[in-house]
Amino acid sequence: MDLIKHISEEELIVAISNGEERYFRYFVEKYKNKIYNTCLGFLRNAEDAEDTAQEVFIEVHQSINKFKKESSLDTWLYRIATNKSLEVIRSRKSKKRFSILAGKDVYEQNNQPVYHLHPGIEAENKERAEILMNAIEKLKEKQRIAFVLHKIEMLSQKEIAAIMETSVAGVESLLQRAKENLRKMLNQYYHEDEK
Amino acid sequence: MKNNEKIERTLSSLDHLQHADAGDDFYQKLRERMKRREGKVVSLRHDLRWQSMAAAVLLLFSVNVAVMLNYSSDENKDNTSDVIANEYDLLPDDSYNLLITYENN
Repeated sequence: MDLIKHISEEELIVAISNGEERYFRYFVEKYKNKIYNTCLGFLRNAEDAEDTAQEVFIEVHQSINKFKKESSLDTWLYRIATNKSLEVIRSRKSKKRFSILAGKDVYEQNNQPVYHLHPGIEAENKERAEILMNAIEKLKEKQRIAFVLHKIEMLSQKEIAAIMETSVAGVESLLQRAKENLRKMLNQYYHEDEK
Repeated sequence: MKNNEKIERTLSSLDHLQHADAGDDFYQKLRERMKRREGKVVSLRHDLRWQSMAAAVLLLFSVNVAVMLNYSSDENKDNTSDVIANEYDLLPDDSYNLLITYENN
């Protein structure tokens, strides 16, 4: 493993494309926490996050030949992780819609994900973080992506812009709108809570 | 606490978030998932091969049966009256028509 550590990104891609398992293992070990965290930030469920993170690495394994090197490996990985997480969210929503239409209350109860709080949240912030995460879920998709990558993954606006294939100014505007909308939602929440 | 203060504290509740750990067995689980999927693809291909062969045989058989039925029905349609006429020493259709015309005249 020590020798692999000094390998360049390009050499790593070539080695994985050639099916060299120890390089793929090194790659997974290197990025697994980042990808798992991104998925957890969007999905809020440890089991779903692990499943989705694994799907991300399977996709990388299958399509690394198609990686165009127009962006960095990190950016490409985050993009896949974001897209996969959003696919899971969309599938949850359509299942929920179907169960409502079909009037399947039992189905809904059994298949709704149990939301876990991110394990990295400080104890004193847990209650507030849960309120915030519930509000984030109601944001529009692009605002949500930008906010989660910024707050949970702590990525810079430049990195987020590369992942979302937009400009830095675009990300700045998305983050600003996300914060405005979150403030409105939280204001309503605390206002109702007071009553 | 005022609402504005609550909102600001809530908005910053995700600051200094520590990264969660994916677990030491993540790679192991991933390999198992990949193997399961490869197995599924292979068996699916295997099933599909047998299914497509069975479908091709069935199609060939159906075409043969259809052609045979069509052929034999055409053959029967053409020859039935002649066969019956020969069997019972009857006149063919055209001779019968000529006889009727002669008698009427």
